[in-house]
Amino acid sequence: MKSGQSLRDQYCKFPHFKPNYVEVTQPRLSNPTCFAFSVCALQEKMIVCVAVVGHQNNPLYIQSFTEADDALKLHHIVHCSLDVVDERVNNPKKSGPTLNETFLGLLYPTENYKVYGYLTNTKVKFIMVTTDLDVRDADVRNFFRRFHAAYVDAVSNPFHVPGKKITSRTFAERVSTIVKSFGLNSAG
Amino acid sequence: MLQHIIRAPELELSDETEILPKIFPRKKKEMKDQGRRKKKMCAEIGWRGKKCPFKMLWGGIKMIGKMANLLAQFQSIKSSCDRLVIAVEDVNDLWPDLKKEFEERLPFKRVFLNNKTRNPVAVDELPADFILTTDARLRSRFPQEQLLFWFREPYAVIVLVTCEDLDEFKTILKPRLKLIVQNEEREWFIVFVSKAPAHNDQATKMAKKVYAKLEVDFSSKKRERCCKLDMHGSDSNFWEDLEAKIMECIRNTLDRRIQFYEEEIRKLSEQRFMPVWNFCNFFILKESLAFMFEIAHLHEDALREYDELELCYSETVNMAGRLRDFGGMERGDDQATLLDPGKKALTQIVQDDSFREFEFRQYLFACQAKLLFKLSRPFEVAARGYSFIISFSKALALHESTLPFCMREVWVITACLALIDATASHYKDGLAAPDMEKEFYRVQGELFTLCRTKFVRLAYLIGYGSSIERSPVNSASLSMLPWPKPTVWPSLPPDASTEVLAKEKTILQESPRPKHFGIQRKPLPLEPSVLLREANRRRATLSAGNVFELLDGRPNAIDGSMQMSPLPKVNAISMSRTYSSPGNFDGSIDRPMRLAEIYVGSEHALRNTISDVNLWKSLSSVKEFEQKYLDLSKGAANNYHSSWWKRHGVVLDGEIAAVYLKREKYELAAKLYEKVCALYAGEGWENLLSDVLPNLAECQKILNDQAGYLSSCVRLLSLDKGLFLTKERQAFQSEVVRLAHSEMERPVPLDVSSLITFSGNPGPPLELCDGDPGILSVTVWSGFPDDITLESLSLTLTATNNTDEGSKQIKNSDATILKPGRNAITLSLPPQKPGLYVLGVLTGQIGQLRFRSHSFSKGGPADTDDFMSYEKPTRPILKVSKPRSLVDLAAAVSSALLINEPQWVGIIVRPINYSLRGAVLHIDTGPGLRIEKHGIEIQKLATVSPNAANLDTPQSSENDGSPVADEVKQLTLIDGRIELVDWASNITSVLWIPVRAISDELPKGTPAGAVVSQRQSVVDGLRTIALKLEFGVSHNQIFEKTIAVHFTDPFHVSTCVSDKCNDGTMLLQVILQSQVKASLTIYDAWLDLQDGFVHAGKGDGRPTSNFFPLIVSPKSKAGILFSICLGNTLVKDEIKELRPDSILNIRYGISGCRTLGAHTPVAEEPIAANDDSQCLTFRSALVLQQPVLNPCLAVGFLPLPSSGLRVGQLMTMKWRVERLKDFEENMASQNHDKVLYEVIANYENWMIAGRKRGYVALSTKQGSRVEITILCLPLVAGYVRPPQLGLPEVDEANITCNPPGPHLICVLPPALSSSFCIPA
Repeated sequence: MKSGQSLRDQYCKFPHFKPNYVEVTQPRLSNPTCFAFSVCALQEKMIVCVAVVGHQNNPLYIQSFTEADDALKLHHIVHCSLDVVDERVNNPKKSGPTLNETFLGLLYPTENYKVYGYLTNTKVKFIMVTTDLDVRDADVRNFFRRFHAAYVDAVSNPFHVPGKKITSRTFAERVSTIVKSFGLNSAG
Repeated sequence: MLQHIIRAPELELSDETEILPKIFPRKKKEMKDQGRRKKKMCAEIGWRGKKCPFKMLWGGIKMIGKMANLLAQFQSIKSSCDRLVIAVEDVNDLWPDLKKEFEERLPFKRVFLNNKTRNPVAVDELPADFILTTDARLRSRFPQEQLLFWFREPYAVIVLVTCEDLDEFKTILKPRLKLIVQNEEREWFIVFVSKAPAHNDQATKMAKKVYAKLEVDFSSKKRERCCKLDMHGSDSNFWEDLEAKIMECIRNTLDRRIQFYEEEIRKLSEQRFMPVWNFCNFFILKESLAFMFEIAHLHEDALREYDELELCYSETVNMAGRLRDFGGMERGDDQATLLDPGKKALTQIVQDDSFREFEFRQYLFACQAKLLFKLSRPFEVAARGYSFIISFSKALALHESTLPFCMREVWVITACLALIDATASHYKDGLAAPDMEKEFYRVQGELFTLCRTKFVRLAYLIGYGSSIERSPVNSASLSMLPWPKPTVWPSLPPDASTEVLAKEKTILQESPRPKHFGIQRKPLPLEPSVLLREANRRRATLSAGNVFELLDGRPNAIDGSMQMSPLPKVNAISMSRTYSSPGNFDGSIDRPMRLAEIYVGSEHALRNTISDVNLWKSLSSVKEFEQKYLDLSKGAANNYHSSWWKRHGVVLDGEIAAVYLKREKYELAAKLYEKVCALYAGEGWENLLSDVLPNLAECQKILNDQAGYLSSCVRLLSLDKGLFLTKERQAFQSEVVRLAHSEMERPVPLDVSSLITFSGNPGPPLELCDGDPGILSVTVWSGFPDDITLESLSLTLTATNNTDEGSKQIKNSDATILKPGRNAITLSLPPQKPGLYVLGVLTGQIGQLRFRSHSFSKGGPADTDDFMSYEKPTRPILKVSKPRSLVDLAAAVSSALLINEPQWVGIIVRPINYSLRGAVLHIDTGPGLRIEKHGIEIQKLATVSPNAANLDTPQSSENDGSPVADEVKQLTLIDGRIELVDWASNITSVLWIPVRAISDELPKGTPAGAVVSQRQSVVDGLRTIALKLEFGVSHNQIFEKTIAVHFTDPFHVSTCVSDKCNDGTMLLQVILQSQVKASLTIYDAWLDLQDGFVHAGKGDGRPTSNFFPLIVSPKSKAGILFSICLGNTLVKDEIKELRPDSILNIRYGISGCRTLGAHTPVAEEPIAANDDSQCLTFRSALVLQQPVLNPCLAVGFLPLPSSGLRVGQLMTMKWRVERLKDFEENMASQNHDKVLYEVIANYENWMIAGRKRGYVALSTKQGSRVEITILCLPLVAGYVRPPQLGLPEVDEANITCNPPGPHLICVLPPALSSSFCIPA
């Protein structure tokens, strides 16, 4: 606990660091081998950001998995990808057969990263940004399914206020596990 | 060349047609058809050989490998021929005359052609050329050439003839026509031109005959091949006929040619994975077909051909084992040619049997785009173009190492710009459906964005990085975009030292623009990794160690990726890999390049790459760069605004605003920033908002928009605390305070809902009674980082039950200092109307700033994501109960008190769940009542109900019901007010007030048995006390009540003469009835007689004293006998002074309790118990009647019928009035012979009919008599007093009655009604 405290102090120098972020990265930083691995993941296949966006397009949970202090750009990517989600939701013609599917698929075909979306029945959106340009759809689907389950568990907490930010540490840990295992699965 | 072709290896024409049917019998017919078609084609081009010309053709081409020539020819044909050709065989030299008229018909309107799938397609306009068969363009072609470029051959042949003579026709024209037509395998028809003038019947007839003959000879049942044109007549049908025929021909030709091409293409494409495959051949065929569709205006089909061509190309271009040149190495290749198919001749890009990818793919796209524009589908061009650019950019990335430096980026920029220009100029609003339109604008926006990204990347490479806004948008698009990967990073040109120096200088000078409020943020990265390292790595001369040395102390060392300290390790690994690969080593430079050198090197390399003058100009200076950057951002934003992607547009507006801010165009910047902030704030993206809002604030500050600036500061403060340092937040606050207190002229209203929140205290709401003020305590959460002084603070209360009322404001006008976090604030609350109240709005003032807050906190600091402001369950904070009785005042005693004596009046003060602290009682007595000034007492009333105590156990009431002695407290009355004591504020107490009821009248005794109106005496003894109780916190509650107190004399006196003795002595019985609830002790009694009566004997009129003291219990009776007799004892003179009444004097004492009723009078000073003066005196007037001594009238009650009286039975009651003596003188009445009578009856017992009062005539003579009759109906059974007859005008002393006193008669109950008894 004490080491965690000092770590937190250390990172408090950076105002953009969120406390829960520190919690998530803590095991990685403390373990050099594990850390080296995550850097490899960064280079090759990696989810850089996951987000839960509420039905009013407000961020409920947003977590970046980059080492650099550039979460803001990921916020921007997630926020702008809502345009695509909106467009798909508002134009049922376009979405066609995927109308009733929660998985929205690739939102952004940019050159450098990919944004995938997922829409729950309650209009909560899950957004995932990955730098992996060669992702299998099935992997992403699987990822979102697990993410959804984690989300459902988190909001089922009686102390969680619906529509408010998810502050659960357990949820954060679980999400980071899912994110990590995503890289592993697709690598294997 | 042609010789070669013709001499090419021959193949049997019949090989397929002969062998295959044996193997595949079912294909036999198909094959036959095919063969037939081929033969026909050969005939059409005039091929006479047995060998198939096509196979020869392709084989020849393959062998000689002079594709380039053929391609060149093909291209030139394509460019020269853009219409369908219709050949005109002018047999009789008619064409010069008809040409004009024929060409007027062009282009053909609204025609139907068959497309590839044989479906009719409407073509609005079909241009065509009429060319004479003798024309050089048609004559000089060789058959092979014809076949290859078949699409340019005539689609129809019109044979123009004229003939005026049948014989001439038969002999000359017909054979000639037969000759023409026989050889003509093409689609043909004959136009017969009649030159006969209309008036010349002969000639006309002849022409008709010839035409008829012509028709017979050349038309068949299947097909009309003739039509007739009257040169001098007006035959409008002809032109329609002509057009129809031409179209028929064109259609047929087209069908046939499509089929031919299709077949050839199919055959070729089957070979596409074989080594013999030659894409160029395929291309020529395919494009020929496409071109044919195009000139036939079947654009859709042409487009499909090109699509297929592209598909086939991409399938075959990178087939294994064929390493090809990619292209793009020539000067000018950096400018995309994706919309200009003719930019580069195809012959230049031929490579072996295919084309260079770089040019050819662009060529194909250009062809597609051209067709799509012709189809009016610019949106499709844009959409296809975008994905083309993306995929082409990927292809460029694959070949990046061989291409010029940054070729990829430059190409993408030019491609995007070209595409944007072309599509936008072709696009007109309303061209497509609304959703299509939105999509179009989105793609335009995407193109702009893509272009912008690449452009910014180039700018960064040449050192404009410092003028690029490090915004999330730019960071997102650039930091994940890899650096260009040339094999070797461009090195410094030899003579560039001055440029390097200049760059170095700018690097040293540049400092990031300081953010407002002194906010310091680590800038977001614009680079995927440190450029310095990347560039030097690409030069491959540095070890990993050097990189670190290199970075030390460099201005760019703060780049984002420096945070990732372990990263270089990874790079080092890959670097060593680079080392090992041979050929990448560039040994010429051994020193690592500095940043400025990298910039200059890149700049030079880029100058070589970029051939577009405009693009280079945009990169030539920072100013030009900014302008282009602005243009691109604007373009993207505007297009996104018209699309679904509003967020993209608004975010880019922020980028535009950043440029404006830099250029000091603050107004524009502020406007745009506001949009961005509204977007982020609206959806709660606080992190992003915190990036932009300080900029907005800065603009507003410079623009002196105080309200806006204040609001921005407040918004900054209300953002999540983690987003800013405390120091920064303090800066925001100091700005707010400074502004609020200084410059503003007018108060500025501001909503601070997110910053200051409030809530009621937990627990039940404050309960107040109606009309009571109170003190409300609320919790206010301040989001300010420091203490803040509020000049005033007020809250509104909203009634939940009554919405019409609006809300009421409660104020705390004192200056309040809010600490950061939780503050308890108390507000004094004026009286409110009954109801439940919730907190409404918090308003307050800081200097000139009027703020209001709407948000409630739930006992914690403001939720940062409370922006949604959904309906919150509001807890009532105040409950004002409906008006109810808070206190009750009542008289403690209901029984009568002694009149004319000081008596305690008890007033029970009963608070009803309400404190009477500080209450004041105003007492106002009514007439006839006086308050004794001293000795007001207050006492606690026991909890036992006083009534029960009084009635049941008078003994115990002493203990239970009576107040506890030690709680008695003396109070004083000042100006009619009494202040109640505090201990009595919550308990029921009794206030004892000494009063005296004053009555001047002497009570009158009544004859015994006389009906005494009890009510009268009650009313006489009634006194009122008006009470007004002021109580409540500020004496706001008032309770008024008037209580009645009943006073009475101790006794009611009645008299009767109990006996008359013979000696004239009468025994007067005085009956004393106690009227109070206290026992009375009679000590003495005497009678002062009136005139005419004297005490019998020598007594002084007192009864025997032995009987005294006589104790009379409450409500009991006592009697005293006096013996009196008639007689005058006084002198005549004295008579006048005497009253006409006798006076009964009683000296008595009273022993009662004030809790029960009458009691010992309140003494002013305590007196000894046995003192005589305790005795009270009661005086009562008695009227003694002298016996009737000289009766003048006698009233006799006549006997009633013997049957008795029954209830409900009418009866007559009679009185007889008789004059006993003559009427005397002293009657001063005029009505001497009349007597006034009056029947007095108790109307509860009797119903009376007839005159109850009136005069009856009665003679003045003695003995005259009269009977007064009245009809009565008894109402009650029993012994009742009958009606009485009175004579009001006659003195009672002169009337003798029979019976003399009141008497009773018996009234029987009503007879049973037989109707109720039914006999059995």
